[in-house]
Amino acid sequence: MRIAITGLGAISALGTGMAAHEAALRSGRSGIGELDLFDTTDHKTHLAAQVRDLRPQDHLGARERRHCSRSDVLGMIAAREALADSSWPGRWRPRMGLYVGATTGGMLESETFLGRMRNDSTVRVPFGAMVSHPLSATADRIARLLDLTGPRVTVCSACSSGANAIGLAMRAIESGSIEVAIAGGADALCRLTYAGFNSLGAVDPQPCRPFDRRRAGLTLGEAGAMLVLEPLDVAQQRGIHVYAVLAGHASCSEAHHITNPLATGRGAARAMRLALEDAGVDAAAIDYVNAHGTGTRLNDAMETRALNDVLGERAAKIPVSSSKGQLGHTLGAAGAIEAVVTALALRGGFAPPTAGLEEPDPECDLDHVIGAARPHPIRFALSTSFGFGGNDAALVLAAPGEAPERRPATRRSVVVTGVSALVPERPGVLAFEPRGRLDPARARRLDRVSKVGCVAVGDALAQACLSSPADRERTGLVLGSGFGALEESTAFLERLFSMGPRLAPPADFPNLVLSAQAAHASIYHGLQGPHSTIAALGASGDLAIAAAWDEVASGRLASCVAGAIELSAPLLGAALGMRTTVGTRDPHSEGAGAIVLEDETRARARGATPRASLLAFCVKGEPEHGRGDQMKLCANAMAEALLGMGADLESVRAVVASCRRPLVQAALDLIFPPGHAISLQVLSEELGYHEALGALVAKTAIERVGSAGGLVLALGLAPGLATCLVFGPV
Amino acid sequence: MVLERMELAELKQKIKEALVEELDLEGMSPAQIEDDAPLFGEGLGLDSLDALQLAMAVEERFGVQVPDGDQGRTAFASVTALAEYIRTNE
Repeated sequence: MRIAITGLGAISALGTGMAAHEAALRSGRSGIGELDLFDTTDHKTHLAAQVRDLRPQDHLGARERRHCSRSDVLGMIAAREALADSSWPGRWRPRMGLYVGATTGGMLESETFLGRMRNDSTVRVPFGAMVSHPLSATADRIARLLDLTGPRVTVCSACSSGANAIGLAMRAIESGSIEVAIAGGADALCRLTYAGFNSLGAVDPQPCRPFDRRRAGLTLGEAGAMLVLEPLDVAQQRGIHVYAVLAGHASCSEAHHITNPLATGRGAARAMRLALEDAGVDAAAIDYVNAHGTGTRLNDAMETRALNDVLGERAAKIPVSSSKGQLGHTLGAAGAIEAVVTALALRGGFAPPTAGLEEPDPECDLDHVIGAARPHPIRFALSTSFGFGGNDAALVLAAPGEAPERRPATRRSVVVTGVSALVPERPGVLAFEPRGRLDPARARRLDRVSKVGCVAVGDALAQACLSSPADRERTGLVLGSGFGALEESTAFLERLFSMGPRLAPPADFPNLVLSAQAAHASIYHGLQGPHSTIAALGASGDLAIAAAWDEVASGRLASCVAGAIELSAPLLGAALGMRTTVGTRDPHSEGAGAIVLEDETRARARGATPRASLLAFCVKGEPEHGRGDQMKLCANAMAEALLGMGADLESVRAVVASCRRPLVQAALDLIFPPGHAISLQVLSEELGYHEALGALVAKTAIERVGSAGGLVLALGLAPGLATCLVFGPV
Repeated sequence: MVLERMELAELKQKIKEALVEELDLEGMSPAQIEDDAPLFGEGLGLDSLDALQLAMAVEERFGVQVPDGDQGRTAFASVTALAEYIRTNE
């Protein structure tokens, strides 16, 4: 199979749409200027690559833009453009997946209402701000806009989120679970990231100058960027224009440091090599590189070393550019908009320039494109993205006629070799004592939520006896969380408002991105497979397990830890929580859980004890955000998961669900024949409700497999989403 | 003279408290930090992110800005060096 890119959409500081972007990429015009989205008087720097004069009403109808954050609007504009560009007909949506990379979500709007609440405790949080706060809101809004009923996944891996969303979409098409995907990223500027990157001394007071000897940091930007992906033969049958082929993707972790990359570039080089291997493309074939090139001292030198390492002597002869001189660093959207840039360059036969670069640093000895674009035919291109926590990703794009056929992977049988859970005795606050469970010196930077995550992941790894460095080098980590470090984010913002942005605490900032708990656990436990966090409110844990399952089933990883963490938070949490649950009346609680998924052959070879098999997964979406028939969604998810694996309904013995017994019971009554006895366990009745229940539901289902004598379903629910994992005996 | 030395001792004590609190040196008490031991690299095992956090804390607690680069490195050499830097730039 070859995966074609058939639609592109983007909105950034360079404008809206492909024509504006291509013209700017050819001329080298920069989108960087004075930031006026919020007051920067007290901030250390004042520039950004901001989307100017963004008027949602020019792009979206009144109903379409209801309850939308700025990030949502950026994502929606890009997604609609990409879908129109790909000419997919109107109502064909169930096999169309949506994969969004993001880091800020509705933070800008939450900051505004938090600022108001500080001054006036009677201020009521506007409904729109509540529902647009979670990172998953952008994907929900895009699904509503485009009437998408397929899977929708929000992935965060800090600054490589956009690239990894594209990677996830490619895997989903390859595994056959969807046929078409809209994939990309969307992130708006906000005070939290602006003060945060400044606190790290990572922002250039002047427009950023990637690879320049005088470079002094990045410039933040904002963007929405989306690509439509589909099998090349489908695109050819439809007679549709193909920009490029997405030939390969890889992601891996350095397990080194929360902000600093490995100076040798070893981690970055590993991601590039894995992506080339995934594509079946030789390093010698690469003829253009769209670099991460942030403009920080550390990144650009590290990335140059990695490129020299991977490309050898040719590195100095291959045009390299960083688009961040024009677009700024758009964080969760960066990997996506740079994939769009790379696709345009490949199709148009040009290498875009690195704006801001005037005096190349001898430490960055590459073939830089300075000033304006250089005409340059491209057959194979590499695009890189590196994120906090040592999260390295790379994409390989190819000209349609050049791309090698991707080798179909033999699906592996996947077993569970370890489980863990951290839950309060009664629904409420988790009494968690890290002493004796974590090494205080190595865990000193971790906030409470990351400590809980580290212990949950460590317990599952310990039960799986997955302890050797060689084992952990090929172990990945996917966590789920609805809100991440919400309490810590609130405290950071409180401090920002009370002390001013110049005193923003640099050590706290990297903990606030949704993938921070996964990053810390990857570093603490030495896991060097990919790590990321999936956000989907109540279905976060379920989708995290599904993503980990695919990593192992496809043979890319020998083992992958999957789990979820959700802790409550005062103020912001209380304001948000009541509107983001799925209608359960059970009390709010906290908790975390993790499972280790492993290739059965490998597990047996090393003498591990498989506890259950993970046999199938299905996710069903509906675009009306929970207003549609959630019961039917549930029934469909269960029925399709079972049908997909050819299982007999009679073989299902038990169902474990996160919440809402009457709804789940009705769904069971709908699909199972009368008289078929199925035991239904609803975890929110025992543990209270929180967004990480999916991981605990899965753990419970795994533990029941032994005595059930058949299949046990783990059912997840979020507004407008239902998921079903099928566990069975080994 | 005596008074000045006392104040310097108090300043060093405050710096040590800041180190433990701001850098989450769990399990460590301010008294365990030696005046002249190097803070970064071998000493306490601190890194560049700690340096940034410490610079922020010094600005907040003592009203003194510590610049990046060589001047900052000299100031952060040890508790004594930092106390002297704060004294000079107050």
